[in-house]
Amino acid sequence: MSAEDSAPKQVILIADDDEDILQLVAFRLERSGYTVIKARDGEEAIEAARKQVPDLAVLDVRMPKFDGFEVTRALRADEATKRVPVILLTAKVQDGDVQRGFDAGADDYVRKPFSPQELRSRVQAILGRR
Amino acid sequence: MTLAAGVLVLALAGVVLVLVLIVDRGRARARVDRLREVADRLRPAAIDLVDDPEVAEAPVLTGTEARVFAELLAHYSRLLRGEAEDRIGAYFEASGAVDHMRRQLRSRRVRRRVQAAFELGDMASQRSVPDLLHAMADRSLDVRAAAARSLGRLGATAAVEPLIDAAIGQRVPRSVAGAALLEIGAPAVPDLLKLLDHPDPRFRSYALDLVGLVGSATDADALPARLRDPSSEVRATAAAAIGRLGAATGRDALIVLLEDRVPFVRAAAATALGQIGGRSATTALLEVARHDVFDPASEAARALARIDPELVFTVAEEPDAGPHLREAADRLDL
Amino acid sequence: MNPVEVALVAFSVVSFVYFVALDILYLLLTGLAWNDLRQSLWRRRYLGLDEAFASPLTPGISLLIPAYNEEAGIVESVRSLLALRYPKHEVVVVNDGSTDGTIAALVKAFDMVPVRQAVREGIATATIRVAYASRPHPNLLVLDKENAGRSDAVNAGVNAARYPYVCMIDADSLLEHDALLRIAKPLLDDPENVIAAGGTVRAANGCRIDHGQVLDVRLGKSRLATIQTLEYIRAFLVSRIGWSRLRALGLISGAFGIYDRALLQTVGGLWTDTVGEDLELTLRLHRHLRDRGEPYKVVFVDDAVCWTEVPEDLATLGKQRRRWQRGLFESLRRHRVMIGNPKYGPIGLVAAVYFAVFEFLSPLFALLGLGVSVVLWAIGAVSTGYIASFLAVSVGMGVVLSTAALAIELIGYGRYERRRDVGRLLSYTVIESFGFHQLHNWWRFMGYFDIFRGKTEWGEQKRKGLARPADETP
Repeated sequence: MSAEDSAPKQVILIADDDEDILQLVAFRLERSGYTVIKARDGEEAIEAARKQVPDLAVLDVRMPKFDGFEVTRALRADEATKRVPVILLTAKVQDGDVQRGFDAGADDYVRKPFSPQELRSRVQAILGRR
Repeated sequence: MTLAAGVLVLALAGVVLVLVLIVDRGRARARVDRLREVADRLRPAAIDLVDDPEVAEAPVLTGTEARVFAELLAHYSRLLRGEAEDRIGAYFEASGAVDHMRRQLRSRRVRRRVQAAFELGDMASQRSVPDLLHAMADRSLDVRAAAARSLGRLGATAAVEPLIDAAIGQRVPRSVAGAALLEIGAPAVPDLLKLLDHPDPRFRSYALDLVGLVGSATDADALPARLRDPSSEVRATAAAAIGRLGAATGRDALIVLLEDRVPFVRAAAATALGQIGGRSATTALLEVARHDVFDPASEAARALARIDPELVFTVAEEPDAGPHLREAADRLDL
Repeated sequence: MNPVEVALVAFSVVSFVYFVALDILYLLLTGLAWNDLRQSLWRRRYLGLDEAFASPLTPGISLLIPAYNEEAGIVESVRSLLALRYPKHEVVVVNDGSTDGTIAALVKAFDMVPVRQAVREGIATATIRVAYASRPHPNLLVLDKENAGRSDAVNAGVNAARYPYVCMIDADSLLEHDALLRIAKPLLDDPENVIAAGGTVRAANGCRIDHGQVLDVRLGKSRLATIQTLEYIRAFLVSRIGWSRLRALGLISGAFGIYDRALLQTVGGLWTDTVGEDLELTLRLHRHLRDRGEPYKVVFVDDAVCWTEVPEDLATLGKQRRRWQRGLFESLRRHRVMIGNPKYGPIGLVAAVYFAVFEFLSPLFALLGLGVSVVLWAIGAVSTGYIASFLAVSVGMGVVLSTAALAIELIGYGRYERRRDVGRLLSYTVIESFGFHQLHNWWRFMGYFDIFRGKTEWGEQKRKGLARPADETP
């Protein structure tokens, strides 16, 4: 299942307003053989997903313009992006946050601070499942 | 006339000062741009270092570059955990930055000590723990608070007792010590449980608060006793902690607490019952939701919505439902 | 000299002395602000805001937004408030009987549906017609209330707030991304004492704004807005910091302040019968807690920043300043017992006295004192040296205080990136003394007449610039 052997690389959309997180996540996933599209806020993320439907999206919960929940919901509402798996990055400690994420249609979540290795294995687990 | 002249001289001095600052800011901005450039150049190397096990060697840097690189890694250490953080710690130990900051903790200048106490927390090196523990006794509050934060960042289990002592002795803001204890997590629980018998109710409820956040269901056994504490604040935080831990053993005591004479205790009990779940609480909660004052009634209605949504839909339309059950029913519909 | 002349000369001298005293006070505040900056500047790096953001111990805050005919900007404003960097907050918009599509815009943008919201009965307010909850945003609540003014709307928000602290801001104001976290930091660190905190308010006119965030700080073309930009810098970065250092912070601006909700309910919320509701509330909180001998702190947080649109036309600005003058009087009348009363500590002895003697009376001395002196000089009753000193003090001290404030802004905050903008602000430290100050005092002077006429309605002012800089250099 590994990404290296499939000819067309799988595409992952990453949205986060923190440039450093964006870089850290992108770097790790690119090195694992995925093509990465970066977005710096919710609006950009939705646009990017419409332009090229990704195989998976990693979304920060707290972003300007549209938050991660809203982006997830927007993806789910659109026929083209309906089935794109979503992993939410959440820094929040609030109890309801994870629940809200799943309600919005997210598939998994990763807590910040995060471990790049762990994030990669979550991504692989989801992409492998399909 | 002298007064007038004096004022005018002062005014002129003010204008000159601002002009000087305008020029100076131009230079400062150029410097920031330069630093950003350096950071952009070094970022791939920094990511390599934290992320790729094959890159064992850190780049050899000096002066500005070394500083910028260190800042990048310090920032990453706040975003990352796991192996990546270990590698950051190893870098700072090897570069000598950890030892340098440890020495600075003993500087005579407060500013230096605060900086060291704070930055050691982002260097992810356990080597600095003894020095930070020592800094918890510093005479400056800023140093103590920064050290507390760093000990939390490092997850230093040795810091549990000193942190609790500092919070109780009001040497560090309780929120700061508390956040650090939460970072340390489960190892802090035994000492926090000991605090449940502290004579001052503020500290009993502080401990309950934290246990509720980091404890596990097995830690909850000590909590129901606190539901009968003489202090209302302690009773309320005990209820909240039991609720967060989802300790079903506390359910009956919480139902009794719904009749506490203090409204915010009743509210906390209702919230907790909602978190624990279980139908045995519904009758008592309905009573509170219908007839109690605002906060307990509101929490009781919300709890019922979690435990038994169908029941809330039904009772909300009854004439004696009261505003809270109606709100809860409408919010269930969202 | 005839007796009339003697009296006039005496008045002229008194007003001269009055201004020298006022300037000395401002110099003192400036000194305190410098000192504070020296101590706080380097500490900002080590506040531990990341930890506060990540901590579940950080208490919840309800943001209260009174809205009257805000159809144009309300959606973006709410969106940016929902995205603020704070771990636990809700946004409560209280529509104050708008006649435009404020409610419709919110309902559409946030997928809102009517709910039978339970609201506390604590503070009496006008009737809430409908409450709306948002499907995607559990932290957003909209109350549609009958029109009864801004204070009444805020009170309804206090009644409906879920969290232990409330933060009042205007619908047309923008909070910086971490402003809420910064303003809340003192109460995280000292929750037993801090009961209210105020933040810095700055003029947003001319700034590049997108989606409720200030992206690029600039000065607009409007001269009036530039003068107010300078005023706000002086008032917040010098006076408030100075007062706060003296432990005599008598005013938390209504545009951006955070309060203990339970305490607000105990004291009855905002007073709806005044146009100076923010000053009145701050004084009332001080009075309430001092009367009960409870320990408490009211603090000012200089680096928690709110941007607000200030009026750009003379008519609106004039009405605003007249209103403030009247609000000042109403607040002082209600709390006259505090003025000079040692029982109220620095608030009674310093802040209240300052408000009454300097803030309230300065238009009188400024206009009449200057006018009388010039006339006396024209008829040769006073020397040229005297009149020169008078003018030098009034203009020169204005420049001294403004440039000092500008220097503090440049060193401590540096929000204005462009040299041209700072240069313009510098030139206005001189320009404002010629024309604007006199006009400003004239407006405030007219405020006296409003007081006598017992004007109580809010007037037809456009809902712009509710942020008051106050503490004006005359």
